[in-house]
Amino acid sequence: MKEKLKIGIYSFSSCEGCRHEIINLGERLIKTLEEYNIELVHEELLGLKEEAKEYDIVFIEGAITSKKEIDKAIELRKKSKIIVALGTCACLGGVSSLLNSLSIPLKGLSLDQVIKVDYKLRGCPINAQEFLNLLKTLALGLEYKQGEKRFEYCKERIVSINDYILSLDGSKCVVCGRCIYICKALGISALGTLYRGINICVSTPFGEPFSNTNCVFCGLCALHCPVGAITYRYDLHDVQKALKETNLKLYIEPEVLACLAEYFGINEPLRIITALKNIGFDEVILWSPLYNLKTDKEKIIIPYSYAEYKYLKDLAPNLLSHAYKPPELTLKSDEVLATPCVARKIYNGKVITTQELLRLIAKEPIKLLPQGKFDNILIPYEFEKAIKVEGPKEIHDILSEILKGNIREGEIIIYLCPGACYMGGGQLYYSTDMSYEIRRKLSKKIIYEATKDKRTTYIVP
Amino acid sequence: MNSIKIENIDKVFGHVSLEVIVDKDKINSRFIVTQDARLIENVILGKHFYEVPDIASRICGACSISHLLASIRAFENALGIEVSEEVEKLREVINEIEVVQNHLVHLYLLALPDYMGCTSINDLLRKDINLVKRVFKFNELCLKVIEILAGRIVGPTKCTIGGFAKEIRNENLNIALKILKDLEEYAYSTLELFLNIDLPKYKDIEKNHISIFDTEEYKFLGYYLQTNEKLVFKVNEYRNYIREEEVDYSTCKRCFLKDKPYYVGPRARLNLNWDKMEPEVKEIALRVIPLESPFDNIRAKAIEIVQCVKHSIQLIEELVGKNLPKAEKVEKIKESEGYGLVEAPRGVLIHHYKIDNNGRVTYANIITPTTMNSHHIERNATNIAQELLSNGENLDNLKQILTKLVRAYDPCLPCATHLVKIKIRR
Repeated sequence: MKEKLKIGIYSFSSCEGCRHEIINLGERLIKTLEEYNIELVHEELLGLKEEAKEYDIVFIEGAITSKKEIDKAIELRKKSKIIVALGTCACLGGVSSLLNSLSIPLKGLSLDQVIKVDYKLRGCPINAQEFLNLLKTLALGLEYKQGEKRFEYCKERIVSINDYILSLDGSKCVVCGRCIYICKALGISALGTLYRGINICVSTPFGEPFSNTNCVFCGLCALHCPVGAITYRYDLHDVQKALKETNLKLYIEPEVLACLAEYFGINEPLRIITALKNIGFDEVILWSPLYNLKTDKEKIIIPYSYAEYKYLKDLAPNLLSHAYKPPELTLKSDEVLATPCVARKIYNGKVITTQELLRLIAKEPIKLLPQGKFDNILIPYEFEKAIKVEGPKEIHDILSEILKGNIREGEIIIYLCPGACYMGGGQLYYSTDMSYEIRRKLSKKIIYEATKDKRTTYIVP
Repeated sequence: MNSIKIENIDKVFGHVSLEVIVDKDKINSRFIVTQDARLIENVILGKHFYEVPDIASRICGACSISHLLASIRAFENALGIEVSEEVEKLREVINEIEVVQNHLVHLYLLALPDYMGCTSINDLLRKDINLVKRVFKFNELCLKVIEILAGRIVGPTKCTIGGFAKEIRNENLNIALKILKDLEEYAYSTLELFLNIDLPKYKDIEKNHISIFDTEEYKFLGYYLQTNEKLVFKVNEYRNYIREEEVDYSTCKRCFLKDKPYYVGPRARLNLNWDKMEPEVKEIALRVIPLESPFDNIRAKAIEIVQCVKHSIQLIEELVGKNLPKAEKVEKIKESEGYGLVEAPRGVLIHHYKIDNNGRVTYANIITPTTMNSHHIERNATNIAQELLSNGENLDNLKQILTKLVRAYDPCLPCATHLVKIKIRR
């Protein structure tokens, strides 16, 4: 049998919290010692008083505050092949290094000021799991690289949040930080990191449900998540089920068709209508959220969805009196809304995004289908001349103008998503920088073609 | 002159030796803390008071919650902040669970090997692996409750001046309650095991005890202290009764109550407050009091475990459904002086601070239970040595019993050693 690995745990000036953490591992510690053929020679707290002549690994906690401790540390260095510093005190000097008075003979020294240290475990106190991992790695004779195996052992503290619209599955998260970046860029910062070091994970503040935070359900975090850790509610299955049973009406926004057309690489977006009818939608209706809105002379700002409304409410509540209510739609049981906007999932009923709709028609031979025709067009003309403001930066500018009193009338449609609905949270992830232009052109084209019979003048995009 | 020295006693927190000096007929004991001074009081000086609880909780890894709460309460006392009843109750629960956890670690891992003829955890594992597994499970559950309520085990993050740094949710309370109800079974089995252990029969030579005073409940947080002579005084006046003294051989001070050594800890709490315990626990306590031997600490701890678990279940049940909002930041800072009193697992803990107009600490004094007990240990050790030596007992036996004695007190040296002022001799 192979000889047992000899380890010892020593303590200098410290609160002994790190040792406490190790002992609190309890059964896991003893199991590890058994499995990896390790002998814990020295740990006074557990009654192991003897000292070995030679150690394989020595763990030292605490700062060094006296000559006696320096001697002991040097002695341990000679005895041991590997020295590991445990916790802030041994790594950096800790509380003892904060001493005020100069009359103290020795301020707390960190271990590596006295002897050579091979590994350092950070934290006050240390993370017990990291300790175990280090021990296991060293017991196998491998070199331990700190933080390398993070995804193996951060799983204890993962955060999972389920909400009505958005949900976060911490076990899939790779902490790339894209969602945090986009959320911060919008000025919302509902997402951030939780815990430090190897335990770091993405979460809302304190792991609260999204609805308790500033989150506006724009869904951009879900769009940008490369591993599907953040997802929004999928209504697709309901729609598939309903398609088999009844005839459905589909309300569709032009941006959805434009985005799909870009995906299929076609220049005639209306072909998709035929595809939609093929898979079982009885009626396809072009719809705009402004359809039900009644013009009001006193109001200026039009939030294009619930997201913008909540954003406005959090950012500038005093401007709410100038804002329209977010557009509403009541969906009956045989009606489906296809939208580029995740925030519209707040409507009761079946609301699917572009991503979900793509799954329905992905197998249709779009390029071979003839162009279809909308059964109805619910697009208002009243807001044609409205100014469109896209993205948080422009919204801030325009709001400050309104607050100053420079803008008193007219209509301003605000879109929180940078790139408006063409690049909304429910849209497909874009691969090129041209996506925005392509989608915008296609979208205008759809509106132009759908309404060209009814009107005489229209600015061709 | 002859001296018996037991060096680096194991299974206690920190490094300590006990020396018995036999000089003709006179025997003298020295409780020598060999751990280096940590001088936390010096570290605290000049710091802003919001930083202090975090530093104070680093005094000791085992009882960090007690230090944290004591310093928080001292600053609340200084600035005249009154916390709600709910906050007070939840703090009590957190402290009590910490007491349970400390007690069980001491009972099973530090003290029990002595009475089962083992020397270390390895022997204990060989002898009764199921017991050890059960202890670890018990420990784990306690830690979980602390983690849920206080945020972390060592150096908790949720408690702060004025209440809690985060709103405490009812879900968390319910989870804690559920775990606590599981703990009850473990607590009773511990009680059964430790009440039946054969302890050395011996009576204290110094009979002074001090514990916290409360009229209604068996509390761990309070404002008044009491002695066994029915003397009750407010913690603000502790200097009129308690005197600290430095010794040259140890990095730990010693304390006197009117020139006499005294004892603080579970045994003192039980002897003085047994009538305020939960009814079922009271019956058990009545069978064993008065606890006159230092070795009886073990029994007192076993009883306290049941008491604490039962009491915290009751407190949390009262708390469920109540509002525990986030604490507000302290705005009004004035020059003031404050005292914090907590019963740490090992006894009375006093924090005393002064702050200036900017909120910087100008004075700090911390008296820990082990400091208070150190002279009591010496007195008892002297007495035991005298008794055994006159009976012609051999040295190994004597050493064993003295080690047991020190361990029965469960001294915590990281706590004790921060108190010493180093004199510079030129």
